[in-house]
Amino acid sequence: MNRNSLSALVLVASALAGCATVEPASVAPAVIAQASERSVLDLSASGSLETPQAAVALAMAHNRDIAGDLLETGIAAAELNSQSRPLNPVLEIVSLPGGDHGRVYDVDLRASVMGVIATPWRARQARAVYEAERSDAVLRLIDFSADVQRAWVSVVAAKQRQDLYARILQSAEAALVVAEELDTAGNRAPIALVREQNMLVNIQLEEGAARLAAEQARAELEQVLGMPVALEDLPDQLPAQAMPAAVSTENILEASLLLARSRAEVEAAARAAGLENWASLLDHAEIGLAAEREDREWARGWMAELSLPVFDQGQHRRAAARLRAEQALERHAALVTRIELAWSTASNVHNLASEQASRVEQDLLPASEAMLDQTLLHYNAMQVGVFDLLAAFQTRTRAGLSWVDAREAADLARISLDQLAAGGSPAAAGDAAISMASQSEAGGH
Amino acid sequence: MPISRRDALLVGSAGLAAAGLSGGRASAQPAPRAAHSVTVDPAGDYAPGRPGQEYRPVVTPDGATLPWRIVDGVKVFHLIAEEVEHEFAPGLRATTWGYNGRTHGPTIEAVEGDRVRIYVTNRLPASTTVHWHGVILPSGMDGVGGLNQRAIHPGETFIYEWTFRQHGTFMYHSHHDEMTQMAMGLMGMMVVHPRRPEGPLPDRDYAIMLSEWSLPAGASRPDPNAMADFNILTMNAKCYPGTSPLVAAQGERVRLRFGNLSAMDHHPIHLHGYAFTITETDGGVIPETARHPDTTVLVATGSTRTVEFVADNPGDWAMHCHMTHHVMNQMGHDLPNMTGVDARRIDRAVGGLLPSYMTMGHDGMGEMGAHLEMGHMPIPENALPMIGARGPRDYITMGGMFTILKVRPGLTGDADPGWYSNPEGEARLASASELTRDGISEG
Repeated sequence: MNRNSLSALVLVASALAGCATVEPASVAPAVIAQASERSVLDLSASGSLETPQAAVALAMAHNRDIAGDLLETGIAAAELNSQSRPLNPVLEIVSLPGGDHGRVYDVDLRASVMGVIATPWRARQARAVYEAERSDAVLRLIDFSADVQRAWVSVVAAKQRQDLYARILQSAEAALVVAEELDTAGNRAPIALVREQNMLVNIQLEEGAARLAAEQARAELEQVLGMPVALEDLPDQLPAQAMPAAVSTENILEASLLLARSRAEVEAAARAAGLENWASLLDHAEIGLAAEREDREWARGWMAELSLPVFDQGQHRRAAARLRAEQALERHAALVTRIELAWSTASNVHNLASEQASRVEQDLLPASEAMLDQTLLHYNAMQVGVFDLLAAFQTRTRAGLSWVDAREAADLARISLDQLAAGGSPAAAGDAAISMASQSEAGGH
Repeated sequence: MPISRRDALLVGSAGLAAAGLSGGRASAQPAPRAAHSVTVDPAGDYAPGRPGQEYRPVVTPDGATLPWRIVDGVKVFHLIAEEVEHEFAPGLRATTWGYNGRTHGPTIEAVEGDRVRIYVTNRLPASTTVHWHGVILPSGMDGVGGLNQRAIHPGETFIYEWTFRQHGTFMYHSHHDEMTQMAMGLMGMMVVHPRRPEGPLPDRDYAIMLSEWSLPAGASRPDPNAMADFNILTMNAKCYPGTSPLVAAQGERVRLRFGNLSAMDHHPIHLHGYAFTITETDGGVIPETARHPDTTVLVATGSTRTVEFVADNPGDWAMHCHMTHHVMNQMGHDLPNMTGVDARRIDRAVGGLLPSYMTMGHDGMGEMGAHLEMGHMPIPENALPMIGARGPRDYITMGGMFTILKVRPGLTGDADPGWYSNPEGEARLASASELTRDGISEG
């Protein structure tokens, strides 16, 4: 190899190696900023348990899993930097005893043709992988944010149900006190007391189930927050939530991170299919310099090595690449459908649950309150007895449970809508919406 | 007043026996059957009886008397059945049905032998008829819808006409969809004075219709579907404290005519301070030999009873139905029996949920009206639960079918003379010296 050839090789390699690099440590904050912008949440703010949004910030500070996920983006950045450079050349030195003429040396310096020529393509591929990983990280943050908000809403709703059941239990205990007094005074047959005792036990079971549900919801929130949570630290009732912004399905598809990745995968698969036309033919091709020292004399030359497409002309690899491209297209289309379905499901659930919540707020709660007021008036007028009064109290409290059920369903659906609008995963959003819809249909918790 | 020769024969005889002998025939009316109380020939023609001449008018407390005019020797009345805004007592009003703007309808007053023509105009939203309860009259005038006549449709006016061949205390009421229309108030008293009264006329003659209503607290229209749980019991459609007192001067002869058209109940009416004589039913005068002194007269539903006494015992005397639930206003009857319970424990348990809660009934219902009177327990609008009235010495814990007979020396007119002062003393707290004197231990 002459000096000029060597210089040119080094120059090309250096140029290829000089591609832009990404500082791995800077990726995670950028990802957080990007997720914040998309989800309209300040994920880096100081968190609290007062609102679902504040709980997300709290989770960002405490959840080590999500911190670990974010490091994945740094790893991807390092990988990108690595893949953006040509493959290093191979230096092979063979030294053999040469008898009287001294040792025989065989020195080969060679570089993979594809390892050098395909460096830009490999760099693009690496960047695509990096971008995908980064996009995945943003997606995970958005989904994580939604999960935290869902967990927060669920635990606050469960806490509220627990409180309401405690009130119902209190009224049942009061009814038992009345029944005991009536029994002690000899005013009623013993069966009346037994009936009240049975009713109390049933309500105790309901209240116990509510406490269990609250505990489970609390534990789930702990899981996503990555820190201990006490029910006392949470608000007593679900806060009022703003309606989700009016967003079209086209906006949702445009915002979807999964869909963007899928598009990239389609393009990458198409590019790969095109490249495969050549790559399949140049499956193994190397060129290089060769030097051989024999009889104390150096002989220099060049070398080329390639596989001969005798048995395999690469047609199978090319076919596989085309199929992968088609597969990417099919999956992209399927993803579009999933997103559209998730969006429409969440929208429908949100609309219905909001309507239900409004009806409870505007009709049922005032009606049950009026019912209790009227029952109290009629109790004062001795038209109804204390058991009727306690029953009206329970009815009002159970109206509160209906409100919690409807509000929780609406809030969870809204979170799903926000999640999709921010580009989040349709699976999580859709599943949550469908799950809440079925829970509401079954009577809530 | 023309009197026939036959009348002269009848005067002084027992009406019942004489009535059966009569064979005369009134115009437009078949030969009179044996009416139960007659003082003149049932077949005779008589000039319309006039108040102050042939009779001393009856007083319907809280009610009225239906006016009439004479047309060609016939007393012409006009009843208008219509919806009425009625007040049972202060604080309790309802939309009822009645006649001539009132519930119950005004008392129809006539004299034995009077020819009467009664127009009935129906301004109700439903068809109706009027039945003349206890009156012996031609079948076609009896007023049973579908049987004796077709119903009077809304907007129509029917004529009923007959001659009273008897005297006594009767009633009138709807006989079409009776359950609904009587529950809504379509009834009234009817008094037929004897053409030739025996004995002295009463100084005070009161007519009182007893009836019962189902009106849930807070509601404003009686419920005709009620069969058992009546919560407003009335005298002339008023419940105490809405009932006006009956008044009499000491020594006056008092006649009380009770009619009962309650849907499902009889009423034993008890008068304090007196023993009276039951002198008539709606079937006629009770022979003197069958009369007895009594303090309570059972007025069965669908009947009238007339009692008489001399008001010789001055004072304020309760007069009421002795069925104790009939002297309660709008009491709920499906309540747990709280008598004797530990109210404090219940107050703590329930009050923790409902701060305004207060256990009631643990020491009876006596304080209920007073509590409500004080106003610290809100109750439904238009309701009269358990409410009596503030009396001169304490709260009167009665309501419903309750009124007061006020007898005073030298009383003139009908005005309420106020509360009696008990000049002969009244029950009071025993002093320690009295307890000691008579060996009474309070322990």
